[in-house]
Amino acid sequence: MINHLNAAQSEQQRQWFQTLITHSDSISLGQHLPWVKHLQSKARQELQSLPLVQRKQELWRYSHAEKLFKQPFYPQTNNSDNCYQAGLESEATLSTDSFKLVFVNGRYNATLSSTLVVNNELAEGVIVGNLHAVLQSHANLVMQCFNQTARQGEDVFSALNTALMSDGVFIYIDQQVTLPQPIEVLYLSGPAEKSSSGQDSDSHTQESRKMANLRNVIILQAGAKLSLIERFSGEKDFHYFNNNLTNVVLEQGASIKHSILQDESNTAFHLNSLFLSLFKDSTYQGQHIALGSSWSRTNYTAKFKGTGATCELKGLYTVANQQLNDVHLDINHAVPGCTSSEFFKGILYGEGKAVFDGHVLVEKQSQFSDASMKNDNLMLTENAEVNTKPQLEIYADNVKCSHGTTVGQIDEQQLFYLRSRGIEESRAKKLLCLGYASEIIDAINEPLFQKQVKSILDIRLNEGLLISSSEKSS
Amino acid sequence: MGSKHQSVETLIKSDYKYGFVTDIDSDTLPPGLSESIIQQISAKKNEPAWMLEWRLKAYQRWLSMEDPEWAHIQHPEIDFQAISYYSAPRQKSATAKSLDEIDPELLATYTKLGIPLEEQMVLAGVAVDAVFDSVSVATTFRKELAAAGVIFCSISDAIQDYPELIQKYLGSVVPYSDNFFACLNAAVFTDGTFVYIPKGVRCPMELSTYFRINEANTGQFERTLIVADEGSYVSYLEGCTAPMRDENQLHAAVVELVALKDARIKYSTIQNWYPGNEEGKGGIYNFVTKRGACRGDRSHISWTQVETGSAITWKYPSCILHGDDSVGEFYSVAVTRGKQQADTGTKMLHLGRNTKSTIVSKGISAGHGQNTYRGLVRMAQRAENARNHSQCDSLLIGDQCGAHTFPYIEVRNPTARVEHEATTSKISEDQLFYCKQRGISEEDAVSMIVNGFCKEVFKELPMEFAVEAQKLLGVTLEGAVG
Repeated sequence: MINHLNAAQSEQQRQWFQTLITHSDSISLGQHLPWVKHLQSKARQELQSLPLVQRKQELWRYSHAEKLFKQPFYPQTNNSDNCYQAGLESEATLSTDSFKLVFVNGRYNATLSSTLVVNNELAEGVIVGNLHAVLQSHANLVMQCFNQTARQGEDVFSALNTALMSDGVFIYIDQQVTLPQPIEVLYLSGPAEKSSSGQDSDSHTQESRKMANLRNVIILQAGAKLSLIERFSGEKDFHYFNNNLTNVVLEQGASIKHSILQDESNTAFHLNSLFLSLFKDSTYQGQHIALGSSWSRTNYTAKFKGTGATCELKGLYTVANQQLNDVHLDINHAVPGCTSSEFFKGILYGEGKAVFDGHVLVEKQSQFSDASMKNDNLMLTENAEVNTKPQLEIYADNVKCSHGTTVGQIDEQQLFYLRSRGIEESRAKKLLCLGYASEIIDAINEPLFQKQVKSILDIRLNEGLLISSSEKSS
Repeated sequence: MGSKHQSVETLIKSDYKYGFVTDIDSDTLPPGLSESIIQQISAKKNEPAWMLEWRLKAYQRWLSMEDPEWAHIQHPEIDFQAISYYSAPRQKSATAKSLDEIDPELLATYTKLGIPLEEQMVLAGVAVDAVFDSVSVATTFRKELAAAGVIFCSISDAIQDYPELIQKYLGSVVPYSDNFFACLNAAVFTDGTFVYIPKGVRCPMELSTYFRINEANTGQFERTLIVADEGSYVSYLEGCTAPMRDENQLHAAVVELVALKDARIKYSTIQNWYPGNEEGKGGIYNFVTKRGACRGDRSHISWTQVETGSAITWKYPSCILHGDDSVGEFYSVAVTRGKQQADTGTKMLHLGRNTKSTIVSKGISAGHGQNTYRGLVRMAQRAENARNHSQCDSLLIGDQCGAHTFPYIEVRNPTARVEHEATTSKISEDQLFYCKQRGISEEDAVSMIVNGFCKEVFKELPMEFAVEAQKLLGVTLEGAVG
């Protein structure tokens, strides 16, 4: 195994980042504000010195990123006005009855978004909108929020996001305000126009491989409550790279329900970094469903900053052929008396790879911490790979910490039970997979969204299992 | 809490029983490492050319390697040029073949350590190979073992007497290029133990090695090689002590086990190197590479370790399960107190079909101790129906210590089953209350609870060792009530 990058590889990687930076000059987010300019130029400098992505880095031990660095990407800019239209209607109607923000190929689409959102008139004490617009109307507030969340990502992709951020979601909820309906954010990706000849489309996709760097800032003041749904969706065989970064700050007693569905295109690259700050008695309840992408990675970094806070994460990931699905969790019990629980389940139905890396740190002063972490994997195919690493690092003695992980198969007896009732094998397997996944999906508390997730998972499993069963029989 | 703390302190300050120095005339090479030093070591041991060549190859490789940084331990940089790589008790005659010729001071040392080298041996029925600083000083029961066809001797003798076995197996499990410390060991190892159990032989007695570092500024680099031929069985014990010294001393050993078809090796360690004083001054750096290969079908390797000593323990006794139906086991109790640090665990590499492995790791941290379990379970693509169960429990005593778990699980076969469980807790108030209510003193109660916590591992130890381990644990932890 080659752990070190050779000179050529390092050069290629630096070059990859550099190319993105040089193509980004036309990005115009907040360039009239000196603090934004400063933030971005600093991030550009950091990109030169931050350690490169390599397997020798513990954080990249199992997630090979060579594939990513071989693809040339160009940052999404705001001045081009080509717009992906196909499938938008259906995507829009699928969504739940909520306030909506829609991003198409990394750019905010006002037509598809709810008008209320655009006009910032959702409710008293609530400011919701795309970052671009809010920077115009509430520049000082945005600056304060950025200051509060600054310096969280010390890795190349976070720096890249800061250097190239073009837009994003901005949500600010004032003290004791509860938003009655969920906010839904849609990230849609697809080709600008369909070309008729295959050759054309090939050369076209080469040039238009876009990378979107969206920056989301979500601030809940004391006692505020929010339900947030994020959904990533992409057209089949469309090449692109989403590098999202989300900051969530929960002040005292605030609570958020945050569901994410990653259903990117089968050829997409997806990297989503979430940084959570939890103050006293706040609650974060998250569900993360990752079904799509050819290369996908999700980083959750949660830091407890006040006692009595709770962070609860449930996740489901599936792995199809040639797919990498990676979940990294970093939970920091920096203060006493907080509770964290993480439960992630994986279904590997193709010849791909799943990575789970969870890290719980309980610092010396953090007595009465309660931390549990669990990762289960269901492995259905040959040539698939699971790498799981649930870690505990504990410096306090009066704590309750546990972790567990399993890798296993479908129970033969359960399968037999269904088969004996005349259900064909692939369908029986699917049913068992759905049952296995329901523990996670049922935690989603928006019923419409829950239904949506179920139906998409159903479709994915149909595709995956039927292919593998036909291969078996031939 | 005040009284509790006091009792912890008195205990921590309690003397390290084995901390004496033996005043013995020794033949020690000047500190430093170079090709010429390696040539001198090799010449002193009158080694054949192939051995020197292997050492030099390892040395060249070592020069290009970096000190590993991934372990959860902290220590000042080791100056490899300040260590003397060879130290031997000076013997009256060139070769001491019988016990009578060995320096009586040395024998007294072993008696002090409770290692019965002489007549007691007959009663104890344990064959001992004792390694003092760099060289093997005495091997008992050679004749009796030879009758069974078992080879049990120092590795230096084996290089002279059984070169074909050494050439075949040395470095076959832990190649010289394996890791930084194994590579250093390959370049400078001075002695160690060699065991060969022929086909179908059940070794008639427990084999044992006792390691002791005596000289100041020396490192101990021993190498153990155990080969169990088809259908054989051996149980091997290992113990270690060192004098109390202010500076840190390096112990970088390599242990290789080879189990052929249907063979079974049971390897038990009680490691009680000098842990340093309560400020963390002095103590042994125990950086050891231990690995066993289950080469044949149905072979079985079992590691049991009780780690109570050393300033830093860095060791991962591993099993490579090549053969179908082979079994690997790892049972460990690691105790850290004072400023001790332990980063220990195992690797179970499942390559063959129906291979099974069990990992039971119990970590106990007290005082300022940092205890880390780090393990890897890998199910290769070919490992049909492979099975692993891992259980890692940590017990924290006091609020200044740490317990960490870093398991790595890699599965590439859909029929493999892996389970990993870990918990971290302190001694429960309820359990303590229950015992105290029945008139058991707090110290005894803690000792009972800790012993219960470790029972799963202790029951894997051979009888004599189990008793010693329990006593050792008692001494280490008595009074440390959390």
